[in-house]
Amino acid sequence: MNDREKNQSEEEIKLTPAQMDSLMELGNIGSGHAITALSQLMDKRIDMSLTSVDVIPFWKLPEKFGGEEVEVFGILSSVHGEQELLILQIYPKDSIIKMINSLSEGRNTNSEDIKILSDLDDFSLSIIMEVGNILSGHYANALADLMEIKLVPEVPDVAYDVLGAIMNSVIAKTSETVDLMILINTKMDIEDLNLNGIFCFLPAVATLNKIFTAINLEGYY
Amino acid sequence: MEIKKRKDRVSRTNDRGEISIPIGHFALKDTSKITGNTYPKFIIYGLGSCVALILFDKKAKIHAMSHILLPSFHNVKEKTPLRYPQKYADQAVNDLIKLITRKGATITNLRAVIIGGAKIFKNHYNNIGEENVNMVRKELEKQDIKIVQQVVGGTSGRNIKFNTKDDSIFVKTTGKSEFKKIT
Repeated sequence: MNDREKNQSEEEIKLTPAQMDSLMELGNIGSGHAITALSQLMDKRIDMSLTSVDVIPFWKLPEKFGGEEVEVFGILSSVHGEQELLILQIYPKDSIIKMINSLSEGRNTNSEDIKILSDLDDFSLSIIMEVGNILSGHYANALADLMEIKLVPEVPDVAYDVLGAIMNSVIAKTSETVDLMILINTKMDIEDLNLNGIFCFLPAVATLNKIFTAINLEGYY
Repeated sequence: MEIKKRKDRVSRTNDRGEISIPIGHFALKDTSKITGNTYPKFIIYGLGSCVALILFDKKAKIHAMSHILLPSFHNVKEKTPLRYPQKYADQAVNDLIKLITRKGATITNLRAVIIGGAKIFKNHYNNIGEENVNMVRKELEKQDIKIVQQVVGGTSGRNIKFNTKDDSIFVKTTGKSEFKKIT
């Protein structure tokens, strides 16, 4: 194999249907646990979509979420331990404001007043952080149980900006040494409140084989 | 390597005459032979911690812009040429200079503009945006290329339009309603 061919084969991660299914299942169960926790917090029924799994070059990530110019809240948790992964939650502004108003009695923040993150008061911000923390914690715990490994989620970080700008940070964290990334996505929706969001799970490509080993599948190479 | 063969170069314009540059990619245009009003605009929407590096030679009418993700390339195991050199600031600056001079620009006539490098997440302890900006500056300095304008740092994302007709650049920060001319 010459260098050129080698480089090209490195760009490809061909996952078998069984591997894709297992990643989807991890995403389903992880996001299921997070959504159940949110459902209890909000005391509302939440619908969730089927989980999708994509293997894409790093620069295509923003496309997977639609418009790069849409302003959203992003809550990002790095998870360390025997696996390195990211859990990202994305919410439209209106959904986060509804969440804050619903979880804090007597508060009625107007979505139109929030133009940048610092327009939110500390109390509202702490609600977002707490919800983010609980949900990514549930997601990570479910993954840890399934893989029978230890995972330690960091305290999440929050941003409000256009999607493209938020994705810069996510891509920088996942693509430092590799050009491909794996995106496991689940959408959720509280119809009653017209509140929706996306849960993403991004395993580090470098430790991907460990995931397959942990769930008794062959690695991808 | 022949420039045409590079997969990380974008040259397709949309119906508004814009060339959108994804992360790790670049655009390069010689406008000396353009007639009428077909000058493309290079754009990046949703620039966060990434840095947009713009180089132009006004005399030769050659313009380049790249979309940089990270300060430096660390993976020492990799021996094959980088697939996306524009992803890393320590590789991107020299690479873009090579590309633009090969296209006909003169290095002493090159001027640079840098935009981006914001800190989008509230508590991120490592500030990749700032590291990106510093590395681009350092590499430009090594080549003695003058930075004529910079709009960097802060905590908000940016949209950018670079008009290759007159090298004018417009920036819109998240939360603001209008583009503002910076050069």
